[in-house]
Amino acid sequence: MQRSMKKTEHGQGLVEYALLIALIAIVAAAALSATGNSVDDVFERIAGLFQDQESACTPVASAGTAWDPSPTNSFWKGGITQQADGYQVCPLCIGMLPGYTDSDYRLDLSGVQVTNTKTSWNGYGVAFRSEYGPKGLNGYMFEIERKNKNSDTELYFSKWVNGKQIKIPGALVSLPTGIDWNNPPDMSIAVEGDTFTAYLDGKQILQTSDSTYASGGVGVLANDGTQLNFSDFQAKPSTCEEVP
Amino acid sequence: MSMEDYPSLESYKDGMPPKLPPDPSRKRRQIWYVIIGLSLLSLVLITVTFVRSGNMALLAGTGTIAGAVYDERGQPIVAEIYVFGTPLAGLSDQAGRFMLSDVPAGDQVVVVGYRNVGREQTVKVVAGQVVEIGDVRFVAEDFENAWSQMEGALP
Repeated sequence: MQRSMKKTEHGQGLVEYALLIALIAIVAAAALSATGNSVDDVFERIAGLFQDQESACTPVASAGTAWDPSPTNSFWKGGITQQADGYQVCPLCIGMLPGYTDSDYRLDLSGVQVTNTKTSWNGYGVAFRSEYGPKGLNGYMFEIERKNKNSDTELYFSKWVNGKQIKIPGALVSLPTGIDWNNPPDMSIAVEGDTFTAYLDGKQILQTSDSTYASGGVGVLANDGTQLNFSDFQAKPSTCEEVP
Repeated sequence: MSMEDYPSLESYKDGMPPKLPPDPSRKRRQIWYVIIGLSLLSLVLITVTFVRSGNMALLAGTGTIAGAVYDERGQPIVAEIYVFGTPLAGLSDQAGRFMLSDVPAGDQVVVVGYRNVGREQTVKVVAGQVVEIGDVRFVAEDFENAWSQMEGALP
């Protein structure tokens, strides 16, 4: 009788331990589900601390590696076309880097050559956290834009929903002195969490925040009056820091 | 404590009393405290996950969003209406009026789009009620951007 009771107690103990382990698993799963993205961010930041700057800035995608000449990967009026010394975006075109999508990254558009084909609506920029849906572009853009020769050059972030451009309040800066279109600046955009920061030639020029889109692809765009040539367009890890 | 309550020397005539074995019920009680604590914690975390998933709206019910879209001369516009993050979409009618029903209750972002320009507005939708967002007016200046230059060739 006593032996049987001891066995029962032993069995009860096992049930309690099993319950304990199951609950720990449930708590761990629920905690990850509730804070998953934040944990992911923390891991990425910690990993970034152990990386040297060179490896932290190794491109994860670039026009050189991701460009695909097949028409199915060229969006809207041709997108990006490869040239002998780089790439070209036609006026009023956007070319997306195929096969690349992420949440946080630093985009570098370097070796830019601008050919203003008209006297109005000159400019170029980058698209980020962007995807094409059945009704048009969804995502963000950063653009340098000049309406005509007499107007200020404006730099701004905008948001696109189903092919409709929505201005982000406070995400515009005017440059009365304009930019040197014959020697345009290198553009760099840091996309980290809800915060987007634009740099021209390594200097911070504009910062804004928006939380509508959490991830998406990247691309290069040219305005209606501009044809853009560039040597490369790269997406680097967000841990890569800007070197002025 | 009175002197009578202290153990007498008689109790120690055979040396120190043997150490009592640990009370098994105490250990089990501790395990149950941990189990109850973990159960409560998982309940809290599951609730947080549920609330953040947006499924709360299913419990909260649905409402209707209404409004009107005009140009700068006050002429009605046939515009596109979206509720961001949902498949809900519609068009304003010839009088510029629109009404979108079955919108999940709570804060919703409504996008009103005409040509390639959009306007967004956060609306508090109340279950079973029609929320009027008022008039949305597009002016010529809204379309002064590079992407408006070629109608029909928009991103």
